[in-house]
Amino acid sequence: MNTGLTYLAIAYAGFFAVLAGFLYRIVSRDSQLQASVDALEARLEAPLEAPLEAPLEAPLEAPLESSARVES
Amino acid sequence: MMSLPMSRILSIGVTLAMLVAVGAVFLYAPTEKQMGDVQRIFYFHVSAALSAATAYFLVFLGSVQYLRTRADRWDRFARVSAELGIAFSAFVLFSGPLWARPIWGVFWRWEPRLTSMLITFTIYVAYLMVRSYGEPGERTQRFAAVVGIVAFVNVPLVHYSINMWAADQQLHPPKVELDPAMLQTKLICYFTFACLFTLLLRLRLQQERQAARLEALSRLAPQ
Repeated sequence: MNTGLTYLAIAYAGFFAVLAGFLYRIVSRDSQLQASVDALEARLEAPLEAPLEAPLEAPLEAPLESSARVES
Repeated sequence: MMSLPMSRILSIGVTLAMLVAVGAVFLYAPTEKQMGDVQRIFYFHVSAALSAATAYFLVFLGSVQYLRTRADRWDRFARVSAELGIAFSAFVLFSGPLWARPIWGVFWRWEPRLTSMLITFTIYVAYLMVRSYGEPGERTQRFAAVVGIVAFVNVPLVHYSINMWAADQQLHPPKVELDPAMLQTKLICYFTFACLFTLLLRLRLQQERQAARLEALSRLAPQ
């Protein structure tokens, strides 16, 4: 086989192999980052929701009980 | 991320442009009479060198802007550009010797352009090493920005090395006359590499922004 063609094939194969590797690295890191961000956002949102639900039930009952105790 | 419409459009465009470029390099461009098929390396070799020079200019720009504004986004921009510059330079330094072996008989000669290109590549590798080994924070970012500005001095030297050193030390020709089909192929490859560069820069910047967001969220999240 022609030596020039061999070097030509190595150069272009090398280019596309490295490009594919680079893109693969970007895409795989991208999904890792996205998963981490989603997990953290979920963790941050969880305690924010709890205090919003709690006052709807608890404060309505609590003052009634406490006033009953005072009266008795 | 990859799902963003602009990145998707750009990805499709780059794929199509790359197919056209490869077709032009192997099927459209005529075979050079003296060098033969190995000359076809040059279409991607020169385009990659141009992309690397653009990337190094962007490192310079990002570094200047970071020192002016102290905004993290400029620091990220400079870092990502340096990464791309190194990647494209690595291809230049890999493909050049593959062309040189059958033409010059050796893989490497210490002639001005090759040497200055290798030095530039090494400086930008050092730039990324400064960033990796330094403690994360404003001090390392400031230091990296100074390195990013000083390193750029070497980039015009690579381009003008052909005229600056004596002709008997040169192996790169100062000007090459190309057949019209070869010239068209070269321009197609320039365009393709410009699109590829834009896509990679965009993807890496989006990723870095995401990483910064993750860091900010980690600080807020309960341990």
